[in-house]
Amino acid sequence: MTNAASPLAGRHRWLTNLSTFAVLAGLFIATAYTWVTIHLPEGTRLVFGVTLVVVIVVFNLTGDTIEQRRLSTLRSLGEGTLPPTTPNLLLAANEVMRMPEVAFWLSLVFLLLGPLVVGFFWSAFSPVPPRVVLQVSFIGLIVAPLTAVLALLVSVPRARQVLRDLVAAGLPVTELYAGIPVAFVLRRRLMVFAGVAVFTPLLLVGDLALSRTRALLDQLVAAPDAAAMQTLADAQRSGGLVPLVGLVVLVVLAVSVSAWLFGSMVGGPLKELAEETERLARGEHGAPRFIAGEHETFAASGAIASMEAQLVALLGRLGHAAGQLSGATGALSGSRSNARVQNLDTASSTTGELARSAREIALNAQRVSELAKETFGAARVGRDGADGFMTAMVQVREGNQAIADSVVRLNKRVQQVGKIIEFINGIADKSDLLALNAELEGNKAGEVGRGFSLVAAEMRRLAESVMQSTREIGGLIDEIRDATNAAVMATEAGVKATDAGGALAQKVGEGLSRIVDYANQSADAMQSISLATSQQQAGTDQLVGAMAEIVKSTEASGSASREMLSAHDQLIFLARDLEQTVASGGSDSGLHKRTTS
Amino acid sequence: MTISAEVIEGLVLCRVGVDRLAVQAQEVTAFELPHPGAPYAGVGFEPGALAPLDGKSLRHHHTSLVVDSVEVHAERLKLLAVPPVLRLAWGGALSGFVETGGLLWPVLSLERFAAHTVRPEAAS
Repeated sequence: MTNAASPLAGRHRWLTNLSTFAVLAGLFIATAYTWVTIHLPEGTRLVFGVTLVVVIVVFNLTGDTIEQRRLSTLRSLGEGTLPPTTPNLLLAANEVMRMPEVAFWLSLVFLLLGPLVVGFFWSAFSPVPPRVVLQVSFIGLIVAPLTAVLALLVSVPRARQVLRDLVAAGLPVTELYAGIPVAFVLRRRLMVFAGVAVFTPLLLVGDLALSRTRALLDQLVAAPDAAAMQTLADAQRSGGLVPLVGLVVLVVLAVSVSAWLFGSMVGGPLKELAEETERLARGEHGAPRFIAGEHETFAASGAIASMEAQLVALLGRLGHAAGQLSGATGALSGSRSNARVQNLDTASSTTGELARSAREIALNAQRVSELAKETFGAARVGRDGADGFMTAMVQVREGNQAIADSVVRLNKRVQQVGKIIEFINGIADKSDLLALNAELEGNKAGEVGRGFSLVAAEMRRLAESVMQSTREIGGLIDEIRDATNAAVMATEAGVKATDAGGALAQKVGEGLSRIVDYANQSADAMQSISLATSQQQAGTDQLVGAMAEIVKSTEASGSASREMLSAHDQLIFLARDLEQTVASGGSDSGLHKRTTS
Repeated sequence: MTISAEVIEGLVLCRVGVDRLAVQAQEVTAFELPHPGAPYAGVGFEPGALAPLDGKSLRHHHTSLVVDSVEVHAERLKLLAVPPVLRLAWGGALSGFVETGGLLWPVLSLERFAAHTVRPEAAS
């Protein structure tokens, strides 16, 4: 699951390695001290060694577990199980910042408790004198502070490097400075270091001298005679000091390394801060840089980074404003002399167009008004025509009705004539019969009645002729009756058609009356529009005249505009000067002078 | 008025549908308008024939006979005799034939022919 590509991979182990070596160095010093100053009884050394190794392994594993648990976010980032987001990176930075103190306290506790545990188990499994057990148990009081300080100091450079890696991995510098709580404990740390650097060698040397003296006295007391005592003293003077001196040199070396590390811890960030402020003073500003440090130096670097960010933003805004001012003044100076005149010319031209448009609108309104009047006249003519048509339809209806009445009367007369014809026909029929009888009687009378028969025959022919005529007249009367009946039906249909036509003509007349009303209203409205547009035309003509006067007065104020142009030229010069000043980043300003002085 | 065996004077020529007949004028008392119930001469020619509305009725005392039209003929005409067997036709009403206008006209006894038309089966 390890993400080899991540720059934070393995950093949680790399961060704690040196503190482990510091602890091992402390253990070496303690072992050497024990070997030099404490005489381990025979038969108990194996138990002592085994116990020591077991305690070292257990405590080392425990301390390593605690440290890695406190670096869980950094380890997850390195393994790729957490995304390198700003909150995660900031959480890892907090863990890294706290890690030197963790190393300090773990080393201190380990070297204080470790000898106690070793002495406890060593005495439990071996017959060891109590004084020796106490010496072994409290040896931590001498080496633990020095080892803890050393572990802290060797952890600081690595913590700083991991913080730089976090910044390189994407942690914003401003977020880092804002997200790490700052504790101003440098003075207290310095006091602790001074105490450790002074008292640890002092205690070591004093205890060493005291233990050597006590051992020599014990040997002298146990010596059988004066010669043996002299021999012991000589041996002590001749070669017994080498281990002691070596031990002291070792402690002094450890203190010296610690002092050098402490100086680097404080001086390194201060040097970088000085370089950063110098760079800012030269105007080489940019994105804030991360300067690794602790406590007061961390706060100072954060303050400088914040100041740099604000300075960059301020210079950016100032440059932008200067550019805008320069552009505006340049554009103003370029168009200043003619802008108002051009605007006035444009306005005058626009009002001229407006006047022409108003005249066209007035002319169109007049035309529309005339058309509305013509429409009104046409609609009125149409309404009069519809009224005339209505009257004509009424007359037609009355004429049709009169025709129908006449035809009915004619039909009645024809029927009367038919009856007369029937009567005449009856008379002729009887006359024919009488003439026939007369002819018969004349024929019966022989020669005497021959003339009578001829007359009767002639009368009979006349009667038959009358009957023939009456039959013809009857046929004509039938035809006349059929014709009059058809005429009656036709006139009745004509009356109905004229009634329908009259109703339709009445509707048409009503519609035309409404059209006349609407046309009249339209004509009135168009008359009003025409009047209004005429008034608007007069107003726009006045506006055109006023604009012409304004143009003349504007052209007359040319001298005042030239003076204003001169003032704007000066403003342009000032704006460009400001823009160049901002572009140079203040390198020629007092900031640089203050830094270099 | 003399009536010889060969010449006859004074005839009433009657038309009955497409048929015709002649009656001596002395037998006709008067011409009248036909009244309902009067026998129609057309029945003597074709049983079931109907009398026209504008026909004429020939009356002989109490006997009438309806025909379609009549014409009094005053000229003398030769009566053409018929065999005895034909005289039995129309109930013994046929006296002979006269020719006038290029047509032969049977001369009938008005009284007998009227009686025959009342009972037309008697003629057959």
